[in-house]
Amino acid sequence: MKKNEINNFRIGDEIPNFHIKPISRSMLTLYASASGDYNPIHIDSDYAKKSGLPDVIAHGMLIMSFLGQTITNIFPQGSIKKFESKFIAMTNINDCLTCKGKIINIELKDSLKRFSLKLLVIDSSGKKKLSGSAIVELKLKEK
Amino acid sequence: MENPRKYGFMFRDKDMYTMPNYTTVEVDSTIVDLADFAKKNGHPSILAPPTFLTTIGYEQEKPYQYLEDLGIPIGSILHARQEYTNYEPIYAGDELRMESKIGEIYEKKDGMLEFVSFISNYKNQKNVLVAESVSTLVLRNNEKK
Repeated sequence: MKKNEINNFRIGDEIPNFHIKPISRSMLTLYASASGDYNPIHIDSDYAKKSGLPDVIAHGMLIMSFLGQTITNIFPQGSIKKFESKFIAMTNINDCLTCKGKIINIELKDSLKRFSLKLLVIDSSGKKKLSGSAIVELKLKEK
Repeated sequence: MENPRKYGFMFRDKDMYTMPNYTTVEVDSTIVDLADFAKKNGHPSILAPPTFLTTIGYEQEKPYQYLEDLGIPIGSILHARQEYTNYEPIYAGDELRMESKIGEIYEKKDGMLEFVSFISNYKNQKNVLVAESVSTLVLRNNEKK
């Protein structure tokens, strides 16, 4: 991260895109272990098909965690005050996702600088998988 | 910023953007002990990542029991929305307690999709409210056919 990058951000700026490697079955199994979410629709193809899905699908929270990483690639971890996502479409095996973020507002309040971010995850054909928003707050230096 | 007098835009020091206070840590070698590294950089320990709280609900022996109790088959649910509001940082070593209640139940598409939201709060070992979350699940009632 370049020094002072955060300070150079203005309203309307995009934060750097975060490209995710193609979603794989092993990624989903690892996330199941890490999160404790062993819902078989994410790890068992037979079960997924029986449940009316084409195959296993990614955990929504795995994709949201990539989005979280997109924020913490730039902003200090711990500065995220609010973080929300709407899961728009299922993510399938081999999907190539890109996480994007845009600064839609910057406010100075008391001794805080508050950034409002609009977030989006799309696949390689531009289809929306997840949309979200975040509020990031940083303490200002004493003058 | 030329000729401010002419255009009547006079900025005082206090009108300028102030710089947020943060430190940049450059990492040029492998971090052997992450907790130790965090401590050396002024944190009590490793900070939990932004979506870490999702794991708390899965810590229990039967994480899907609450859905079974509601008569919801786990193969038919999808995650529709997730929202976190953070109040205090969460560090490795903290002990968290999660309390959840049903927020809303509503339908869309003539009952084909049924939504249930769960509102949770998380307190640490000092009984301090560290975060709140709203998790909305959607039931695919008719997609099985």
